[in-house]
Amino acid sequence: MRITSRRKAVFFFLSFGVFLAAAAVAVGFGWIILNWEEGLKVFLGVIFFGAIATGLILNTIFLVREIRRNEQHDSFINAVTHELKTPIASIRLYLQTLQRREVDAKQRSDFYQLMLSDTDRLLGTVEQVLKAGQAGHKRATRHVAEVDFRELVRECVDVARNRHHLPPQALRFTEPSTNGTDVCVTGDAEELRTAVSNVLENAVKYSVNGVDVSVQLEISQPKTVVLRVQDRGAGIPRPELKRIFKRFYRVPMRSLNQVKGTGLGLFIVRSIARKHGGKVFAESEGEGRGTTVTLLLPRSAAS
Amino acid sequence: MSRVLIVEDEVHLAQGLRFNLEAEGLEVEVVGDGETALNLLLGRKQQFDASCCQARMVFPSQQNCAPPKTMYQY
Repeated sequence: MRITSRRKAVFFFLSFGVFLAAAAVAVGFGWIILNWEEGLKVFLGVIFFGAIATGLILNTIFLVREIRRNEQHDSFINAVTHELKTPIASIRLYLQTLQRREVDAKQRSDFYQLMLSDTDRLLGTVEQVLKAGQAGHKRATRHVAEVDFRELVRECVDVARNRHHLPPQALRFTEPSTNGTDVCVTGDAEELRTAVSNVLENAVKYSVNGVDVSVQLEISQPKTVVLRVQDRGAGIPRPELKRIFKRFYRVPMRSLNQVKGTGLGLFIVRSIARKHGGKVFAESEGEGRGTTVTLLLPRSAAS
Repeated sequence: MSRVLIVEDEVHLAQGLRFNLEAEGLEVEVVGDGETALNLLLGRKQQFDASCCQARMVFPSQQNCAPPKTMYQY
């Protein structure tokens, strides 16, 4: 009920804005036609009605933008609330179970493990939200230094393998052949690590039918470092390929109901890539046919 | 023995509920989404005495609605 009444209000005020703008233009033309003979009146009319029409149009555009922001904000609250509430509910359930029932040692250690992974999820969500807040700011990065990107990616791959208990062949890392020279990127190591691990995390998370991820680091042109993460997972329909980088956006796919997230991961990746003068894009053959995410970063002069 | 169907998309919650209900001596079946639950119920291959599901359990084909009426009949 609430949503439909709001939709109606939005629709009304948008049409009202468009109508007023059109009316101002029409009245302005009428004025000009009626006073065609008198140059001063026409001149004043053009300026006056032009100003009103411009004001109304700008106002309507602003309104549309604010409505969009508001909708984004709503979906953020929904996603994050769910992501915060669920692990807490789960931890509570297990704590109450341990409190009330006789649980054997094996079962108890399983419960501890489940609760720990719930706290990890909780922590992950909170960190994601904080990082998205930072990424939204356009100020320069603070701890800028020369970062050995090859080493950084290797670390991220190791972390992802450990976290998801993956054998090396499920998450392969192909390093560039650079004859011993470093693959350096100028930037904030912490942020770059966040970006790389978010991409890896997604590749593993959306590999719904078994993990088979390949990570390739290359130097394509002398000045560009290319990180390509290819999975054989859920894939992305073509119209969604750009939208996935928007804040809070998640592809509404039936097969992915079980995969949880806040819709912030790739938004953070894109913000970090842009901050470092790079870019990121996704390619997919379509639903169920895997995804390749490519991160391009400028290679620093020192390397 | 009474049989209970749990419809829950969060694996951890479902496992916790299953443990508790089984400790109470019930037989428990867990499914991950409303559609599967409905198929199971409509298929009539298995009879359940009670079902436990989130009020806002999302049915993929019927976004954000309460459990469909068909479910209450079983």
